[in-house]
Amino acid sequence: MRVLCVAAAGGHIEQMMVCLDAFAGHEVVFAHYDWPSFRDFSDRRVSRHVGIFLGGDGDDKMRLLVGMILSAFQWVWLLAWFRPHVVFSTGAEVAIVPIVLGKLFRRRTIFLETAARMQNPSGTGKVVYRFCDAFFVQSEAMLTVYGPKARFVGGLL
Amino acid sequence: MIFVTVGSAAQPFTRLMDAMDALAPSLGEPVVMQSRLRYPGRNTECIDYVTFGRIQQLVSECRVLIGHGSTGPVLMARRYGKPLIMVPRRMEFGETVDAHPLEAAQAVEKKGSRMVEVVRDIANLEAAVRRAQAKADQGLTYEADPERERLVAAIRAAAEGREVPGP
Repeated sequence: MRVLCVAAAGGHIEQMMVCLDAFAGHEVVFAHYDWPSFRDFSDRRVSRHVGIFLGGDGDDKMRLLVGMILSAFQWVWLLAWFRPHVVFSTGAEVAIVPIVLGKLFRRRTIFLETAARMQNPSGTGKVVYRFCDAFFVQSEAMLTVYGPKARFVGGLL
Repeated sequence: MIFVTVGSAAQPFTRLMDAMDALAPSLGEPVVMQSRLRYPGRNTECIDYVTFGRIQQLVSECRVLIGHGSTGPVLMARRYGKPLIMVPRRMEFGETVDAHPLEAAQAVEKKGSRMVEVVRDIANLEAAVRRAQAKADQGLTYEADPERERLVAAIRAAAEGREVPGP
């Protein structure tokens, strides 16, 4: 099985470092921001890693939207080249385009809401919820925040 | 070596960095601090830019990790088996734009680990650092975390199209 993993910087990538154990025995491509600070990324569980342009975040919705539209070309290329069976993300905004496209291309889509969100939903979570086949949250309180699809089996913190 | 990381936030966290810079000479080992915003440390080595590989290396080489209290430092400390002091950024001091560091600190305290201590009042930092140094001296390690194993197993089940086990 091929798994495309997507994570932003900071806590998101550290949560991904834990979750990569879930794909032992499967082929993983990991997509992160195209920042120079990720050029020296290496992990034995990942067969290849790629940088994705985003150029914005939730604080500037207009810039984020432009970045997402531009990044969509990269994602389409990545999905066509790697042909993942699964798209998995630990957030943040960088997860939106690959999860929506993944769902559109009938891939299995999985999202893990960040451990930093214990009471309130993330903007990304609200957007991708409807496009996910499996949606995990990291506290019991978050179950009521989303909907019946949300699952809580444990938290990473 | 004691490694302090306050992440890549745009807001400064001088409350923690000033305290550590003042404490450093009395701790008996070097203190390295990383912050996106340049900090003029007098008693500490300060770096403003780190790559992913470099920060992993710094955490793996330190004896005690002091983090700004979000998910990244908590997970890195556990990954490399280091005692952690979590100092949550606070909104009322302009250190963060939302309350997620406090939420994360609460979650960490709720689960509880002998390797992790949360410091809300910076006056308690010195005693916490000394306790963490003692844990490193004793070679204490993290307890097993069944919750994390359940979550990883559930993600694997979902990826393979199997029924996700309940909590």
